[in-house]
Amino acid sequence: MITVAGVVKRFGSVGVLDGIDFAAEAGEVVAVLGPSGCGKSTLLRLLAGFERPDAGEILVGGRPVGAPGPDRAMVDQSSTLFPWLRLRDNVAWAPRAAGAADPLAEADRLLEATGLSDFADALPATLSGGMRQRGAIAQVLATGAPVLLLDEPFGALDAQTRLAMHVWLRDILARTRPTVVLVTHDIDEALLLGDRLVVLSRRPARVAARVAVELGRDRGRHTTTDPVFTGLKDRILDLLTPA
Amino acid sequence: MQPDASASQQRLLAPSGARARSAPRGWLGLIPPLAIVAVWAAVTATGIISPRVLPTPAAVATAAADFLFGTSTTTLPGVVRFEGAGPFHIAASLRRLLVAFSLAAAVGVPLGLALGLSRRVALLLDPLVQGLRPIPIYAWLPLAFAWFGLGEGSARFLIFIGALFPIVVATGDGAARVPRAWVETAVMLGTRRSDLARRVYVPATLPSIVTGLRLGLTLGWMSVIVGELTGTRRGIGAMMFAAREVGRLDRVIVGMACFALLGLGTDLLVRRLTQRFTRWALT
Ligand SMILES: Nc1ncnc2c1ncn2[C@@H]1O[C@H](COP(=O)(O)OP(=O)(O)OP(=O)(O)O)[C@@H](O)[C@H]1O
Ligand SMILES: [Mg+2]
Repeated sequence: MITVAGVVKRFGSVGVLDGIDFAAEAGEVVAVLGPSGCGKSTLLRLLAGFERPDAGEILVGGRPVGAPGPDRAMVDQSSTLFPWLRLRDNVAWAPRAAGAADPLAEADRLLEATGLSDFADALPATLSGGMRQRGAIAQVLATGAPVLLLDEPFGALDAQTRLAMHVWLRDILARTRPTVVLVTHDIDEALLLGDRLVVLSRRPARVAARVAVELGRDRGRHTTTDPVFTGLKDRILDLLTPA
Repeated sequence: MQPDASASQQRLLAPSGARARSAPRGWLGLIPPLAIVAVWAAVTATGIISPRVLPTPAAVATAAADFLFGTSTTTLPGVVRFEGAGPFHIAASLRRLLVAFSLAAAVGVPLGLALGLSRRVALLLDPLVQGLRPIPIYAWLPLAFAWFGLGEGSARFLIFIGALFPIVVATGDGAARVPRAWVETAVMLGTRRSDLARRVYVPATLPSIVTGLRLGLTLGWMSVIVGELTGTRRGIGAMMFAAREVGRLDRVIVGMACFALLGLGTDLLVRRLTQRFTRWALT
């Protein structure tokens, strides 16, 4: 579904990505980990089509990425819900732009599925951080895009809320089965949500390791004490903090 | 910014509990003006200050009643009426302001949006706007006379100029500072480029537009008095200049109070009418 091959990106004289290769099958969740500032957000912006690579190739669904397109939807580190619209109208944005017959009905269905129905009429500023991020994900799910690009979607939340969000997102993803690239620097998040991990090195980033996460489908709080989980976490910590 | 805007901002920054508790203390704000009136009454009653320099509060109140409810004794043509002419002058000033301000808004908002959204328009027009903006409204007076003659046309032109620049600048500033993330999100959600102005830029800029309109209204009112220097016989300013010529400072103060109340009233009206569109920016 997604192929990233030999991607290089520089900003002026600053090399950010230095030959990145990875792939994601349809319906797979690939978690991208790496030290802060190594170029994870840049990689996602390339996938979304907001930036162009200086070298290499990015294919989504077999076609090269040139510009933002309806097959790829992205959620940022901080919610980008439109502050002047109620949550329902925010979620209805994509169906409305696509000319859906009843965008509000589609929004209501998604709000129901994401457990946000009670807040449909709230303005984003009156929601908690966790609800805003869930709202932003619901807004993006409404595009029906087969590829979701998530950039530290829960990065601004506290640890307990984040765990609840992980369980919530696993459930949503299991039902909608999009192909996901999830950027994070939270190893627990990567291991709870990812089918495979791509670990990047310091800037200019290269792929330091690719790790298959063999933890089964049913993951939750109990998973974090599983020996497989702790073993993987140890290994990744070593990769991210070289001696 | 007007002092009033920063005060309301401070209130918004206060925790909501504190805001709720301090709300009933609105009467606190009445103390300074009442104190000033008390001092004013004292110094004029005791004769420390001559009524020629400062009329007593009672004289001003009488003049105000006269202005609003009196019956005119002068019927000479060419004389600016006072007794009972309050509604007439107030309506003239208000009408002048509304006509010129509406025109300034109709020109200023689209011009500001174009300046804020298009680099090309900004490169073309920004130097002109920045160059004209600092010219004091009084400095336009001779040109206004030359172009529109004495009277209504000149008055409206001056109010238009006064209100225009704050509207253009605030709108342009707001439009230029719409976060990129909102535009990218809209594009990512499938919004057509041609719909971005309507769906993102305009709603995102509305709070700045309202700020511009409020500033424009204030500057517009300030220009009303300049506009009424242009030889018109109607309007609060015209009444004040006529009163000054015959040494009636009580009437001048009545005119000042009229401007204060009209300015407050129209600002309140703009805020009420636009509240719905700008509430999100305050939370
Ligand atoms: N538009 C840009 N112009 C210039 N430099 C940029 C731009 N965007 C990113 N960079 C630089 O690229 C590098 C990588 O940034 P990026 O945001 O991709 O890192 P990141 O891995 O997402 O970091 P974090 O984990 O802190 O979110 C940084 O040094 C940043 O300064
Ligand atoms: Mg980042």
